[in-house]
Amino acid sequence: MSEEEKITGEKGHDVPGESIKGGTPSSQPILRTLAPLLRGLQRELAQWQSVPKHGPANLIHQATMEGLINDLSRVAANLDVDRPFLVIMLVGGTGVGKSTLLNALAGEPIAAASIARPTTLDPVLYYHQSVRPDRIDPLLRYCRPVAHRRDSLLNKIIVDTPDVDSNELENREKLLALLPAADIVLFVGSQEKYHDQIIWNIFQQQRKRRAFAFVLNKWDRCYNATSGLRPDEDWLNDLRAEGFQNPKLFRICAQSWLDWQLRIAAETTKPPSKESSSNNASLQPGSLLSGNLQPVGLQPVGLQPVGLPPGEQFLELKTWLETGLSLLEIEAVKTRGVDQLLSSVIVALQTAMPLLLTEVAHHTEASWEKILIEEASATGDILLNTLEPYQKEIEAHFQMEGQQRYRGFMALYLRLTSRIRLASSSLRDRFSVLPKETKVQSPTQWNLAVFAHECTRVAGQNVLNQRRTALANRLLVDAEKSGFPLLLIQPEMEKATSQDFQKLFDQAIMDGLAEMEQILTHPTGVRKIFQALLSLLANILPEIAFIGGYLIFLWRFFVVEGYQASLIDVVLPLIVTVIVLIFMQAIIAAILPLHWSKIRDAFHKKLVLRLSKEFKQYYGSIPQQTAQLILAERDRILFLIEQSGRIQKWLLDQQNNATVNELYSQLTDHNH
Amino acid sequence: MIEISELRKLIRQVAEDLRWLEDHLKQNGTEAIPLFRLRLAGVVVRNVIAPYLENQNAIPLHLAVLGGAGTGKSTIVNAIVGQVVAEANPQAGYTRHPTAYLTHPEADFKIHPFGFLGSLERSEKQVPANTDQDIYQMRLVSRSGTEPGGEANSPGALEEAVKGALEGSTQNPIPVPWVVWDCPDMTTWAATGYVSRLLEIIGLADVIIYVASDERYNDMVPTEFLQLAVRAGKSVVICLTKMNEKDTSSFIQHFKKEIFPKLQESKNNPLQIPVLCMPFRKPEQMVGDELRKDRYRIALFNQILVITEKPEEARRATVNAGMHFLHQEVQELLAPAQKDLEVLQNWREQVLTGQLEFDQRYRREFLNTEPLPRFDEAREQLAEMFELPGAARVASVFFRILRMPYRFVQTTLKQTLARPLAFQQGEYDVLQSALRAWLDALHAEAIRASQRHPLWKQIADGFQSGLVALIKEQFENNFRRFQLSASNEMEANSSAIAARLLSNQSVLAGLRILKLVFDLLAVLAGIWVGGLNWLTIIWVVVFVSLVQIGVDLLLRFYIDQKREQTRSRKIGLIQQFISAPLAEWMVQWPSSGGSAYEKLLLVVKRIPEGIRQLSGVIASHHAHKGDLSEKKSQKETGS
Repeated sequence: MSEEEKITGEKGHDVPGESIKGGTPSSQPILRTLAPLLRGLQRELAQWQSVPKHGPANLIHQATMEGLINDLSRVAANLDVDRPFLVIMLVGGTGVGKSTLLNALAGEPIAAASIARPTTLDPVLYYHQSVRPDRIDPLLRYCRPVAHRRDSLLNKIIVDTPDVDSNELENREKLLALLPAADIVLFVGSQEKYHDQIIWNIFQQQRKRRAFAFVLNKWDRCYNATSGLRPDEDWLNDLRAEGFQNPKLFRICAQSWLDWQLRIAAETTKPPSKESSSNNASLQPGSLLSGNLQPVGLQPVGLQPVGLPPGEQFLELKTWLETGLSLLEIEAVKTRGVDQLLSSVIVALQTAMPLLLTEVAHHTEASWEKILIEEASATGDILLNTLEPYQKEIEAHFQMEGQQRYRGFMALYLRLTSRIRLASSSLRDRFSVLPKETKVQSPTQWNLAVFAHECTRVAGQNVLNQRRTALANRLLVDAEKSGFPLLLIQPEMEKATSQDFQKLFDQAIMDGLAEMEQILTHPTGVRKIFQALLSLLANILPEIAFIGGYLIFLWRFFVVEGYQASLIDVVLPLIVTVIVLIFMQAIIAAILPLHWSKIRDAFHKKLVLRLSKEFKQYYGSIPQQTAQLILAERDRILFLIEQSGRIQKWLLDQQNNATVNELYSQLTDHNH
Repeated sequence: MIEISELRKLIRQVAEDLRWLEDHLKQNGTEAIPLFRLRLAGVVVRNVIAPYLENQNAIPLHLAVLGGAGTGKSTIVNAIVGQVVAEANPQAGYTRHPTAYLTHPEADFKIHPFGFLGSLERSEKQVPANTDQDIYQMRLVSRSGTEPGGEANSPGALEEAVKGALEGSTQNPIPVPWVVWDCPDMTTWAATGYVSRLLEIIGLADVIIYVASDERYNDMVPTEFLQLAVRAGKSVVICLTKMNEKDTSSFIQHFKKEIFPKLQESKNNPLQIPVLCMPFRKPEQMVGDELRKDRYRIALFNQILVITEKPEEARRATVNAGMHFLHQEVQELLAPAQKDLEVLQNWREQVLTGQLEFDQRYRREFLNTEPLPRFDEAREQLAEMFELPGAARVASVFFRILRMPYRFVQTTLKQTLARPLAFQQGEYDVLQSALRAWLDALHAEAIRASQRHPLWKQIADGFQSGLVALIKEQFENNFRRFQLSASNEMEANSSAIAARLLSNQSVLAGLRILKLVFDLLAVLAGIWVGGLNWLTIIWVVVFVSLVQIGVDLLLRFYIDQKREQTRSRKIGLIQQFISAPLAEWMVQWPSSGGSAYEKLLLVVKRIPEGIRQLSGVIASHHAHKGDLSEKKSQKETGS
């Protein structure tokens, strides 16, 4: 605090207490240790950024986050040097005199200044010749570099920028691209423009991110107010409202100083510099002239242009830039910059934080269950309806499966009859009863899998595909009603909807039928005994009849005298066998019936049960899964926030920022 | 001529519609410039067109001094008036409401009752320029000499007065009554609060003096306002300020090169905007005679005088330009509303897609598997009708006996081979679940899009609160009506087949005879093939059966045709009674019941209509005025 008072108290005096004495500065332990920490955080953030989010997915948020990640890596790179530079950027509307100010500070016309607006198209980078160009922030590399030999500006780079408010919108974009590189923004205003909206908006966006100092140029037009507020007072009021309690505001007349310096230069180096003073074009960095002009910048105080308005502060500004920002301050500004960056990261992370939905997911699941069961039963109905016309084929199928119990003649006979039945089934389709669209192509070679697949295909084509999107919509709407944001659940829902449901239905039908068959062909209790008995009889009786018949025939043929073998006698055993077969079949059909109508309801129940289980598996877990993902994301964000916070706290412990407070907005976060 | 009360109604309507549209679009986050343009259009209607149509005096003409903060507007006001009336001060954005400087007290102006509609009020007492309220104030420019009297309008007096004005004589230095408006700026961040006051004056003005300093002349925001003024057809005089005196001509050239291309709408129509300048002067140089005799001031003054020399014509030009602006830009004015209308259109498309799906689902889940058994009955009826009546019944019986083997084979085949019918879902259930799917799809879409546009939000909210119940209720009613008409029609359709044939006895007889001929031919063919032995009977039976198969196939074909027709008819009924009315109702829903979108649709239709009417009224008004002046001149020549 005392330090601060000292600086402000000394305003108006000529030389502040301390100044840099050339020499190599000591290394910066805090800043260098900061670099790897920031890099680590940056990596974590970049990794987090690369995965898809469930939070409030917003393009603007994403862009902000990306910008912050870039800033982090850039800041880390900039800090990881022996001697960090302070980048001071002149920002303001067109014509306020940014370039003139830079020229006045340099004491020579290094930046183009003219009446044509906007003047500055390629920004000038004013830096000490000892700085290796590859050390300069990549963002600034496309600026036009002008080197100088003024050791008082050893660690500082001054950047002139394009305007923000002219009709050339590209210029504004250029400036916005440059801004992230700035440590201190020197907000240059003039009597006309200090209040302008465009630059003010940029200031409001940036005031939480960097240090600000203010220059009111063309002061000669400001101080003779007859009514209203004087511009500097007006401006100070605004700045106070933005949280700058004691902003550094310099009231200057840059043009007067530049003219004066040029005149002196012309007088000291007579013939050659006359050209140069009228020549606005740039001078090459390191040229002889800049060296020659150097003493001008260090003119003894007391000499100044004539007719300066009262309260003119160009010299204060210059002194502040040269000596007020010592290594200590540079370090403080840099750390403070990192601190602000981290705060922005934390804010961005907090806005990206998704809502906790675990509780809601439970409600949603409970409410979905009803819908899913309803849907399963409807789907079951539809599948069953598709099967309905093929009940005879299904019965035949069951019988064929049952036939495996039988041997010999019975087996042969049954196979033959089922063949005939199936042949009639394909005949049946020639006389169409159902309209073409819904017709199932009954397979000539009976195969349950093919048949089931065919049924689900037709059902799917007609109804089920449409129902699936309807179901997804219904579930989504219901989730929204239970408080689960539809947009969050949508991606998972799409995934679930795009599953191959036909396979699922195929399997459900086949399994259902197989189960039915199991029940029918493997009865229990009395029926089991009947079955065993019947199959025994069916396996024996036809053979007995056949063999017995022919034995009798042979006996009569060889043993009985006078027997005339007729055709009837030869065929009779065969007929008897067939009659026995038919009789057995009838008995089996009567005692162990295989009627579709009997198994229909049981099958339906099984099918619906199976489907609701499947549906619940496919859809039911979506809210909970999504909620889990969100929970993981929240944890991740919380972790990142904590990381950032830890670095910030570490910084706070290290910070010694007493002399730079006035460069910052004290306003705590309020969004605008 | 249109009645004054009707005219006022029309003007109020157009102005209010424009204002409503502006407010509505502002809520949707429309950019500033289109909103400004809407406001300006409203202002032109209220402040220019309305007074003209009510025959308000063209005098005084309004000059508006417009420019960015700190460009020297007050200095220019002083220069025009020829004395220090407006205090120049260095605080940017100090002036927060327009101030009118009236050069001739006898030519006080009245704002039309609709002018400054509800926004700007005249402040009776003098208040400081930074009073941030919706007011305007008026100050009389003090006279420095005797009155010029009414002679100002005669050419000789005008010349005299101009001469006096330029030489700083003691006469009233301004020959034509003017109101010079000192306007607030548009560049400072406080300007968002008072830019509407500025637009009010831009719209009102006959001449706009656009002030641009050497610092500001290429600034974006002031240039946008200049564009606005030029597009609105105002007479613009550009005055560049604060440059060094030696730079003036190069500066003007530079300005023309940089800015004019941005104002020009077409290349072949070069801009006729005078550009003048007022170099930097110390405040003490801008008083008294020194001010009056400044050559830059005289040039500016002359330029304005040229435009305003004949006030009637100048005013008429303002009115015409204003009307032209409204007429030309009406589509542009309404363009921002396009987004809303697109969303409405989008909603409509969604609803209609849903309707299509609804119909399809009905067809697939119900209609396709619906056997419509009445048609089979009808077929049997038809088949019976081929039996011969009266004495010929003997022949019928004979043939029936011949056909018996065929009939037997047919029925047994049918019984063994016929598939059982598929179980049928109820019609109501199918429709209800289809409706639910329709509504769910719309609801989901509305929720998805609700962040994109407030209209979708409104729809999503509607779904949350009772919209579904409303639609279901309608569906129930519609379904009842559908059922009534459908069952009647189905009944009629199937019975009509037999009835139509019965009613047409000659066709029926023809068909019977044709059938009989074929049967007899079949018998003959059998005899011909088999010869005269007992096997012939088999051949006869075969041929007669073949004929019968043919007849049966034809009948089946015919009936199936009818069945299919009935199916599509049923789809038609569903559309007519259920899906189309529901879709229509849903399409209308967001823009009905007094919602903003109902108004939007109305306003978007009403504004161009109103502007067209106004333009018609103006044309007839011009003609009328022309007649009057002609008569007047005739009278004058006559006398």
